[in-house]
Amino acid sequence: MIRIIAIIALLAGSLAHADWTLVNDQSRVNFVTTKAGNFAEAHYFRELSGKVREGIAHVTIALVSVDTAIDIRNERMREFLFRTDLFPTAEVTTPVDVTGYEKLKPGEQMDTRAVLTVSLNGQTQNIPMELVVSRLADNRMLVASRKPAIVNASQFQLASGVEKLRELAGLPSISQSVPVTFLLTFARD
Amino acid sequence: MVTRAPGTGILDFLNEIDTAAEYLTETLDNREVPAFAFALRNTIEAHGGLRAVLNRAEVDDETRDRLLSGEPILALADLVPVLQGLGLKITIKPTTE
Repeated sequence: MIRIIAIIALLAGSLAHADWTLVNDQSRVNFVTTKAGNFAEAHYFRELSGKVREGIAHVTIALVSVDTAIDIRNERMREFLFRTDLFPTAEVTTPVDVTGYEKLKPGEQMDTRAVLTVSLNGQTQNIPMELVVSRLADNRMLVASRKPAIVNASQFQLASGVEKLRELAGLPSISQSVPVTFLLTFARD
Repeated sequence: MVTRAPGTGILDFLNEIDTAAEYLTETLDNREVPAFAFALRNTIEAHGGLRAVLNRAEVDDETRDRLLSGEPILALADLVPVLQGLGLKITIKPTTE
C-alpha cells in the first residue's frame, strides 16, 4: 500500500513539474555590437538547446553557430572572441517557478525576474534579467527578455578578444558594452 | 554615416529610458566615448528628437539654437540639459564601488 501511495505521489509530482524542452527554430539569443561609434549591428546564435527540469532551466548556446551575416566575421568571432576550440558552448541556468508559469492559460503572460547564471569563456557570472513569460498553448511556453542585459565584455574576459577583432577589422573601436536579448520557446515533453 | 538603422529595431532597447541609462553608463564606464555619443544620439531620437528633448529641458535659447543647428553635444554644459530633457542625470561615484 505504501508503495502504491509512493508511486502515485511520484506520478503526481512529475505531472505537476513536467519537463519542457527548448525549441531551437522558435528561439533566438541576440546581441548587438557597435563599431566605429556609428554602426550598430544585431547578431544571433543559430543553435540553442535546453531543458526545464525539476525547477531548473538550463540552456546551451553553441557558440560555433554565431551568425553575424558575414562569414569572415563569424570565423573571427569563433576563433578570437569565443575561442570555441576551448569553450564551444555558453551555459545558462536559472531556477524556474514552473508551477507558477503552468498556471498561465494560453494567451496569458506574466512579468517576472530571474538571475541567470552564465558560463562563458571559462567565466561564470550572475546576470539579473527582467522576463516576460507567455503561454502560447497548453504545450508551448515563450520566455523573452523584457529588456536587454547590458553585458560588459570584460565580465567574461572577452575584452582582449574584442580588441583582436578590432585590430583584424581595422576599426577605430568596437564597443565592449553589448546588449543581449533572447526569445526562447519551450515545448512540454 | 549610420546614426540609426530605420526599421531594424536593433536599437529599440534605447526606447526604454532605464535601459538607455544602463547602456549609456556602461559605455562611459568602459571609456567608450564614441559608443556613448552614438547611443545618446539614438536615445534622443527614440524620445522625440533633439528639439523635443530640449523643450523638456531647462535650456537657454542660445544653447537650444546652437544644438539644433547640428553642433555636436561635446561640452558638459550641453550634455547636462540634454540628459535632463531625456529624464536622465549624471551621477559621480567612486570607482571602488
